Amino acid sequence: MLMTLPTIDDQALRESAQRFGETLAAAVAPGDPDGEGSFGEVMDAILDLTAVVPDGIQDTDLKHLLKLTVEARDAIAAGDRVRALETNAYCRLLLRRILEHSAIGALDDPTTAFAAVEATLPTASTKDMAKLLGVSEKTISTWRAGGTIERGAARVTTIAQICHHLRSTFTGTGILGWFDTSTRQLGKRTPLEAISQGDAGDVVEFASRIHG
Amino acid sequence: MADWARPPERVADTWVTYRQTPLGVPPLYYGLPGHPSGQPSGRWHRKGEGYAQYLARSPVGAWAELVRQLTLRTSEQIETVHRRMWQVAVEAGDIADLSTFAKYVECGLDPEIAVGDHARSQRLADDLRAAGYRGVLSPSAALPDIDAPNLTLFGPRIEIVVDAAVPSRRNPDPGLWCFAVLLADRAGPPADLLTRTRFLGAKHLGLELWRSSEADLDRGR
Repeated sequence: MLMTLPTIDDQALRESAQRFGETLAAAVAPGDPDGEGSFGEVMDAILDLTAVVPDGIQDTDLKHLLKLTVEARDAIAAGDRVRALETNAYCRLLLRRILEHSAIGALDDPTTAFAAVEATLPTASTKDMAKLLGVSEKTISTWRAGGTIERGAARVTTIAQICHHLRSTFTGTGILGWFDTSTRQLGKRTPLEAISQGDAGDVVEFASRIHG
Repeated sequence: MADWARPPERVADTWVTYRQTPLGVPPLYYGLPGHPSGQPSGRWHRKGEGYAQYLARSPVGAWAELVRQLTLRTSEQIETVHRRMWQVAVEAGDIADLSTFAKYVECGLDPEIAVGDHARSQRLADDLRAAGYRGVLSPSAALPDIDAPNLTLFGPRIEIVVDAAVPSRRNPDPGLWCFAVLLADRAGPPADLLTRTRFLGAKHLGLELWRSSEADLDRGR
């Protein structure tokens, strides 16, 4: 169960994760004569990352990342490049997981979720948004003006999660079209129909499979 | 006890393969040692039971898998897709050669397994793994008119991303690692796949054609 993340600086997290990933990859690159020497930068990078990982990210992932980083350093020191490469690959996997948990967790907050949907679907009209989120156009305007999202909050967070999964495959226009396209995987219903009939979980699962 | 009358031929080779993925997603599946696999089920594996790498032998074959999965029916829909396209170099042995429907029959297997319901191919994959095969060559379910069969590798593989398809570096362990080239970061399927792709629930014209040619041969005998 992902926890709500009360404060999140997604940009800082992504930049730190990228810096850590790049420095580690450089340190373990085959044939890199400076691998061991540059490991100080790797350790600095992971400390930076630790500092910006928001509360609520599973501690086990972060601890695992630290452990693997140390293993990579030891592998390089021992001249075991293959082990170092493998450890780097596992670190990449954990970084992806941390970023994904952080992004999805942030969407538990309806205001953040609404903003994320708006950002993912920049061409969506007020009418499109109202249909997608199951509220009136007036409510969409209220939310855009900063009104509190209470009624319909669960649907907003669900739609935001689905958009998150789909944006790596579809443009905004494609996502809007996807919600209105019937599919065998949902019993020949459109995703919007399935959500309206209480099967939002199935739609989230379907969308997450597209993300891989 | 495997269902085949005789085991598939084992082949070893180096293959150039293709796979498309969502943006930001690497081409191959692997996980942390000791952790359960989260890879969604596919034709040759079930979710939670390890990993499988689904690779096409041509870019168009890889795109057809997406067109089928997403049921992309119009050129307007295709234009809204953006995915990564990877080239993956595979060195592997102990690959089951079920690359044609005829080879299925030669092994005493129903060729429908290649392109039909996943439950049957997943059971065949269990048998192949138990017999020590490390993958399988099998006709594409999504693109009936293509000659090149898909290559599926059993188990995890990790990509080493390189700039050239044939890197000068030696692969540290081809059983685990594959060199991968990112060919395109935001690309979509070609429009001709709208008519070439076999959509979910449709007949496989390649299998139908093969069956009718077999029937013609039988009549001529």
